[in-house]
Amino acid sequence: MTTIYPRVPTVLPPAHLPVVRLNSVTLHYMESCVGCGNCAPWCPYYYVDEEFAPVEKAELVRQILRRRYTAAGILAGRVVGARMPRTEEELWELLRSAYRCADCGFCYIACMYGIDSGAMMMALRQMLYEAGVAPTIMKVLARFERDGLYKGHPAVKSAWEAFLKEAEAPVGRRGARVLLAVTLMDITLTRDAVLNTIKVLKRVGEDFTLPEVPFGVRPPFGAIAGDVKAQRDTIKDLVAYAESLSPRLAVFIDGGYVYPQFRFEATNILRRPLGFQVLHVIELFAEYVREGRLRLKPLGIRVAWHDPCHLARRGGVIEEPREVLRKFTDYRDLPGHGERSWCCSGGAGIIFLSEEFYRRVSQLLGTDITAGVSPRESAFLRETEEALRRAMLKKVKDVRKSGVQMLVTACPACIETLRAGLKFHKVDVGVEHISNLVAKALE
Amino acid sequence: MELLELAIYVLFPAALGLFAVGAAYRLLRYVFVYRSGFYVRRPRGIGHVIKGLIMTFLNPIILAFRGNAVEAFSGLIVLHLAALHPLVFLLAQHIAYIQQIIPPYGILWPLAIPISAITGTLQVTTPTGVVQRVTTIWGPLTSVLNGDILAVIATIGIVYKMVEKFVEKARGHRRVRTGDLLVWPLLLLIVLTGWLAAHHYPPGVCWYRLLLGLHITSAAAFVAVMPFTKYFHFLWGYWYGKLHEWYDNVIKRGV
Ligand code: SF4
Ligand code: SF4
Repeated sequence: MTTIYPRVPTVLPPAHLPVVRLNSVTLHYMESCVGCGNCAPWCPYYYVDEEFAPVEKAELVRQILRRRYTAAGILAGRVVGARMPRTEEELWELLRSAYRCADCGFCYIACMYGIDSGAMMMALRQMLYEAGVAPTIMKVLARFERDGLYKGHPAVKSAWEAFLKEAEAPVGRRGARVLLAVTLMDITLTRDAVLNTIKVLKRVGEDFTLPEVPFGVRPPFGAIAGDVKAQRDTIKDLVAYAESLSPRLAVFIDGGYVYPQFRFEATNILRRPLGFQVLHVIELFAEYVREGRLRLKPLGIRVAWHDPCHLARRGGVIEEPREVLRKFTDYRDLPGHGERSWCCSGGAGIIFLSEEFYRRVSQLLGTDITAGVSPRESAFLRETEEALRRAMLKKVKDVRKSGVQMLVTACPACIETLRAGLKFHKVDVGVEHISNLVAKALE
Repeated sequence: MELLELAIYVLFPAALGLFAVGAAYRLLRYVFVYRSGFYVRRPRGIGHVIKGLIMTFLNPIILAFRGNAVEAFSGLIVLHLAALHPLVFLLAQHIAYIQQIIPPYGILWPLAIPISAITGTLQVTTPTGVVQRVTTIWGPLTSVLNGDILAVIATIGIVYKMVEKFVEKARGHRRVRTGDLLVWPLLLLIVLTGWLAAHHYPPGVCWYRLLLGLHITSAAAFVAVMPFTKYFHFLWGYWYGKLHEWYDNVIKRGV
């Protein structure tokens, strides 16, 4: 059986911590922070501990960059806030901070100087990953996706075939207008939403196709794991596959990082335009509504839209879900919404960092990934779970205040996080993918 | 050469030279490490893009007040807008002095702020021996907009920030670096020596020349190191950061 264990099994000596390359933007992030703390109150993880304020976390990266790239840092070290981690222990400390950031981007717009501390934390994940320090599940899934192992994996294959049977939709059809880019994570976490999306597409008579194999695990998984090579290879592979089908649109059901990665980052990674346009399914639904192709009957429920950070603040899709939901629900916004929406706190892979998820992935892959987990990693996982529960309190409070019956959203990680979190904090509000609600309202 | 002469004729001009070199170095680094991106922007109308530009600058101010109103009021409004900027750039004595070095600076005379509330007409004696009489546009506003009041506000602001930084450092905040602990006392020294010198206190020419010498020397030290510190923000970091964010979020992603 093919091993899906990590590419970098050992920890490199910290002296070799591969530091990310400097560009004008990271240079600005390194040298312009004035330490005002304006970013802190908008970070969900600040409420877990002050040391997880964006400025404090990003300072860890600034310390490394100063040590590597500034003359003062090389000569004077700590005196000028320059520091390279020296021990494996320190690398694990850094990992803890790297996973107290959902890359939600709220600190970015709150900063007087436009410093994106989330981007700094993703840079930290990259450095740590290169040094061999990353949660096992991140290493496993990034590799599983990068090497295309999911395409031939027996358990994945049978899950995909069962899904295709149920979907009864065209598969691998060249020249269809829409390629519905269904991922392995989609059919695992939000299978109902995928099937309901297909139902809607059929109802409006859309010319669409499904891919022959899942469109990645949750591509590009390397982007959140910190595996730059996996990120690039996955994008290259999937874009080439999509282009081989020549669709006009590649439509994603996942409104998490998958969307901005393909909508904005893919061209930069490949250094060329894509042969298709990238949309999120809610943009497609809004288009149908505007064209009068999608008629929806009122459901009479009070709902609010939870803006997934990567779809809204980092993706620019803010109006479309509201436009659709106002057609058939009693819609209201959460107190924090749109560009200023509170993050669910489970993004950028944080929701996957629990022993339960490790078990679920082990089950899916038929390989016990928990076998490679050290006691230190177990402790890290428990701490991360606890931190997530506390970080999401701001969101929970907003939901409570809004008085809605249901929260509608579009990101599998948000759905998982919010369902678990609202239940834990005893808030009786359901969470649904927008496709489920639209399918229910079809006339 | 006594301190005052050294400060006026050597240290401050040298500091300006260092400032120019430092600023050029810092800006050139941006050019050298620049890497172009390849992005397909979300098409948006010009109205959206302009509104986005305004909101990019307004968001942090709105969020600062919502997040921590006391800190926002004291740090942003009182320290920056009310005290430091007018004090540094518009105090009549400063305009007179800077005008000697950079003549076009004199254009700011109509906005000049007097040292005290006693009169809106300025009688300025500067170390370079210049005597100016100016009428400013501030009129009766000079009862609050004057060097004395602004110096008091600035002193309170600086002491508050200084204490805050020491407390934060003691609480183990990484963002407070050694430089932060040095620069706030330096700013306090600049304000206090300037204020005492302007009021000729303690009386006597010796004291006056010593305090003014210290004032200009400490200001020169600040100007010289500024391009290498976070205080370069008002010339570069603020504008670059916000305009980059505008490009990234509004123009590219269409937020
Ligand atoms: S991106 Fe979000 S989670 Fe990360 S540091 Fe900023 S506010 Fe916190
Ligand atoms: S708001 Fe910006 S400048 Fe202020 S501490 Fe945070 S990152 Fe630094």
